[in-house]
Amino acid sequence: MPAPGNQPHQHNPAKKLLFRLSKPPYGRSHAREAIDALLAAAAFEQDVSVLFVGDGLYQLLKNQQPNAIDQKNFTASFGLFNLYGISRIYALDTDLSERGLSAEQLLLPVTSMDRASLTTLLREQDQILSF
Amino acid sequence: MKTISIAVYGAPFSSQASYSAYRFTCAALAKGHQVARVFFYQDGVHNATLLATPPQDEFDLCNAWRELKQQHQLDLVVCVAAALRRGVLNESEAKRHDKAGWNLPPEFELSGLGQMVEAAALSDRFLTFGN
Amino acid sequence: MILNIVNKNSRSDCFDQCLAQLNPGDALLLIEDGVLAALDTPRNHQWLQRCPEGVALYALREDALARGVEPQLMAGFQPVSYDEFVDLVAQFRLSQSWY
Repeated sequence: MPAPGNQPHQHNPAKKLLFRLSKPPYGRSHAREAIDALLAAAAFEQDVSVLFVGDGLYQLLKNQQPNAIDQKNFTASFGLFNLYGISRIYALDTDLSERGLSAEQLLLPVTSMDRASLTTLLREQDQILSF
Repeated sequence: MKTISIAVYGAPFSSQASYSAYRFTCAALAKGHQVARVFFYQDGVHNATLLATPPQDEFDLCNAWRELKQQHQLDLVVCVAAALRRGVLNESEAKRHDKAGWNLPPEFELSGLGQMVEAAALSDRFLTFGN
Repeated sequence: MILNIVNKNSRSDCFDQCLAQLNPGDALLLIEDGVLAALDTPRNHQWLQRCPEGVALYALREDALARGVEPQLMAGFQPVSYDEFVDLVAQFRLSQSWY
């Protein structure tokens, strides 16, 4: 690997990095630290896709009030998705329906997909980062 | 021969994640692959402490990482934000934040998430070990 | 295709999600507590029935030995060492961890 630095070498093409977020917010640090990591990837101009699976969808609920448990509202960072050009945001149709959620109810514009489409998406990636 | 990077999200002793990462890293090196970077994030930052003191008859994983670095060209990087939150500091961070002590071993380097992104972008394979 | 690395027993969220997403040509490697899902038990036969054909099944031998279950792995599961774990990672272009 080239000498470590905080900047990927500019002549390297962006890699397709998919971040799979499967944990609900606040009970553990996974959700918060996953968002930090994917924002870093976007800031370093990688081709970021975000997949919210299972209870990870609860990160996207509106009206979160984590100050009730002395935690920061990490959804504030969702505003950066647009700024960093993160537009590939996905959820499984079955995960949404099992939780009685529709894409319109969520804080980010999520593309609902079925399993076959998800398989296609995964196989297009260079790396899958699990959180 | 592949370039492999590893992300460690679990603390030593509390879960097997960091041990599995360590054994995997050793095996990858033994097989002649290049391990470009091991990035410690979330609870994984707890692998990077001088102060862990397991009983004499127990495996000392923190020390094992240090010895591995001493024997091989390994890049052991710890996410500074995750580390500070959890009380893993080097001397300069301890001074900056007016803390009573510091514990980062010299074999580890505190840095930003950009290092994890770089590892994922530039390595052939990127493995995550978490809990 | 994809190497899936699971460290929890069956009927955990992550195991179930992984199982639902497996395709022929993928591999499933059970490590840590996940090796318990490879034991020859009625409970495990249930999830195995839902596993697609053509998924290569592996369990990390050291983790099975540690738990005293190495002789009890289901037929169809190949025990692998850490070295062979590395070989699998080298072989599969993509890997995905589940925890």
